[in-house]
Amino acid sequence: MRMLQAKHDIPKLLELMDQDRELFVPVRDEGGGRFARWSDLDLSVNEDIENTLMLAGEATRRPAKDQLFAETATLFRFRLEQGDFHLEEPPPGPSPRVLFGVRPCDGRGFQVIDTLLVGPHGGDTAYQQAREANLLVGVGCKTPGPDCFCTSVGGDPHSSDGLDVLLTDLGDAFLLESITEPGRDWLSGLQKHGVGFLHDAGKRDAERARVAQHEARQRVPRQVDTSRLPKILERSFNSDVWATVAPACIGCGACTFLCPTCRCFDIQDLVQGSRGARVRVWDSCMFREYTQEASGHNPRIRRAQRWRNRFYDKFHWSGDGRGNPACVGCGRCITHCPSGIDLVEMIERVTSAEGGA
Amino acid sequence: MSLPQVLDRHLRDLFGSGRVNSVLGAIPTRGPLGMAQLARTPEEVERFTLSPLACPNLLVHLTSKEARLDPTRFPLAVLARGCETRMLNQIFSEHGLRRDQVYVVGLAHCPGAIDPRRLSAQLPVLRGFPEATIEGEEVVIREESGELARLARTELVLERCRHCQNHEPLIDDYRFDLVEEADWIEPVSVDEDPGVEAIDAMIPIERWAYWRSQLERCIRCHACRDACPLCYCENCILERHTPCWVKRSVNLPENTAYQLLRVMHLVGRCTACGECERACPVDLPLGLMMRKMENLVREYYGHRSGLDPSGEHLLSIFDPRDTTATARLEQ
Ligand code: SF4
Ligand code: SF4
Ligand code: SF4
Ligand code: SF4
Ligand code: SF4
Repeated sequence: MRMLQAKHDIPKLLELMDQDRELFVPVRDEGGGRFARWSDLDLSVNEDIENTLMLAGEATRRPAKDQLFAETATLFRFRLEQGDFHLEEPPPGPSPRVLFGVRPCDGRGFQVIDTLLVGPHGGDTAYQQAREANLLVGVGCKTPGPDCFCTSVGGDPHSSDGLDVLLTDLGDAFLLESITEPGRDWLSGLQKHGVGFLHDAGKRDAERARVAQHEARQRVPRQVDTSRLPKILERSFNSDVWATVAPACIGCGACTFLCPTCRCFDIQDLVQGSRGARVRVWDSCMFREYTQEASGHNPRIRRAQRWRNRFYDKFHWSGDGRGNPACVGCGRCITHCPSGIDLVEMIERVTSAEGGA
Repeated sequence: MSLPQVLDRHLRDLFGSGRVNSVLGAIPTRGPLGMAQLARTPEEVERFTLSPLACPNLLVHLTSKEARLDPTRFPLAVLARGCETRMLNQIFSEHGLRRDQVYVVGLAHCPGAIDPRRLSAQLPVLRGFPEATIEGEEVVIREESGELARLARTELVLERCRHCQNHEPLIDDYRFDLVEEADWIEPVSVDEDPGVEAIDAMIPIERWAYWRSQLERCIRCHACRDACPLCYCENCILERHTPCWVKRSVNLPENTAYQLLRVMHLVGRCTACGECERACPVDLPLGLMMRKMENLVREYYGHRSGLDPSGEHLLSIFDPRDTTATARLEQ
């Protein structure tokens, strides 16, 4: 199903979207942008909307990940009564939502997170519920950011993987294409109420979109060959190459917490008096205490070891379950590493150091 | 751009004479930000750069846990600008390192270092090993393809450089002039810091609203702590689980506790280098917080960390005739 939406009517469309499902949109803020609830925004004029919503240019600095895999998620609550623990009634799952303006790499990121948190034998309930409640409406990237390399890891600035609906920027309008069944249902629901500003798209619009998509692909600024990495990494665990980042890396969590596919967590109990909650919080393999054992031993005490772990997680041990790496090439860890460490350069270095033999 | 010959020679000789086991400097990267590098052999010195793009504060690699795991890197020579020598002073005064462990190569007449975020805001795509040269009030940015832009220096330098009063090394074992003639930006006065003044002018409820709006954004990545050369406790309280002082939960109360704890642990020690703010991936105005704290220390105790030539450190000074704020509080 294909629809056309003139850009100046976007506010009307957003209002409409917010009717049945709670709407979340990518918003520019003082920290480089993140997703926020549409109804919390105070946007009256079109101009505000254009400047505030991040539908073009660089993606939000904080990926869409945090909307489904929250930094802190309460798994359950408990209370202590007469010496016994009692579980409290779980709160109802999240209400239906739509995440509007998800970048294709973030959409693909959810597929990587799924491999861990949506297992065939039952996964993480909080994440699964959030996953089911959220309709993902993506927007393709007309102008990729400075470190984007999605096309090198099986993606594309208009990849529809993991999305329910994809928007393509045609200059004066967006083309909306449904990708999945729920996406189609949602779009036809919109159509019913959007008479007057949501139009059926014709063949010519689809052709214009293909051209725009092709052009965007040429604009992805960085390329690197990742095809040989799986083989190379089989024999690179003890390579000297990992030590080369150690003098610069400060072992912070910036790269992992901004990454749309990093999905490690810790579990903590928050107790106050006789009541408490068990929460899931983000964790990072770049932290020293991530592998701190109770005995005092730490198998990944050195930064080179931790950095190697993150690299192997992205390109060897994990993936998106479809044959692609667990890195979707969003470039955030490169642009925002305070120490100037560049993942693409590191891929090249690993490949050239170990690729020969 | 490699090092000027005389400096290159000097660093190599340090290895040759057995004076040091390693040299800490910075190398260029493909992007707008140099990267720390530890040279273990004289040959590795060759890649070092003195470019103003090499902005990370290198001292974190002297005091980090990583550095302590590796005592063979000491004695170590470090390329240090004025601001970094001030911080070195502080580290020595609190016995974080011994003076004889560090050979200080002072980089004098510092014209300032470039903030990669400020540069990227003006030139978003710089991925061809950019070079920057300061020519008077302008910074010339070049890549292999040629000159890209001439930008105003004051718009480009790190926030700490706008406030800098220590363009010349306070201590050194060897001195190298970065430019022939010192020519620095008129610094923002410590007494009239517009950022701090704006915060001071707020009534408490506005002030809290401001900080709340900032702290809410924190994702607790610890980059502010990890980037700080003065955050080197063997047992950081933020990593303690029994008792757990600050929960990992990311929300306003825990984020506030986290940040207050970090700031309080730097009272009288922080030299306002602003590295925490630079490292923060979501742009919290941490430098402002640190400058305010530094101002309070100066106001209450008349002390500025790292500047005391006798090497006294505020928190280890005890004077029974003390009439400053804490003493007054107790009366
Ligand atoms: S690679 Fe960069 S962002 Fe990641 S832990 Fe190291 S310093 Fe932090
Ligand atoms: S590893 Fe870096 S480039 Fe890859 S998905 Fe994560 S943040 Fe993006
Ligand atoms: S990596 Fe690709 S999909 Fe992601 S923001 Fe950049 S161009 Fe868009
Ligand atoms: S703070 Fe001062 S000494 Fe340090 S880099 Fe900036 S101008 Fe140079
Ligand atoms: S660097 Fe920024 S986001 Fe990270 S913990 Fe510090 S204040 Fe929070």
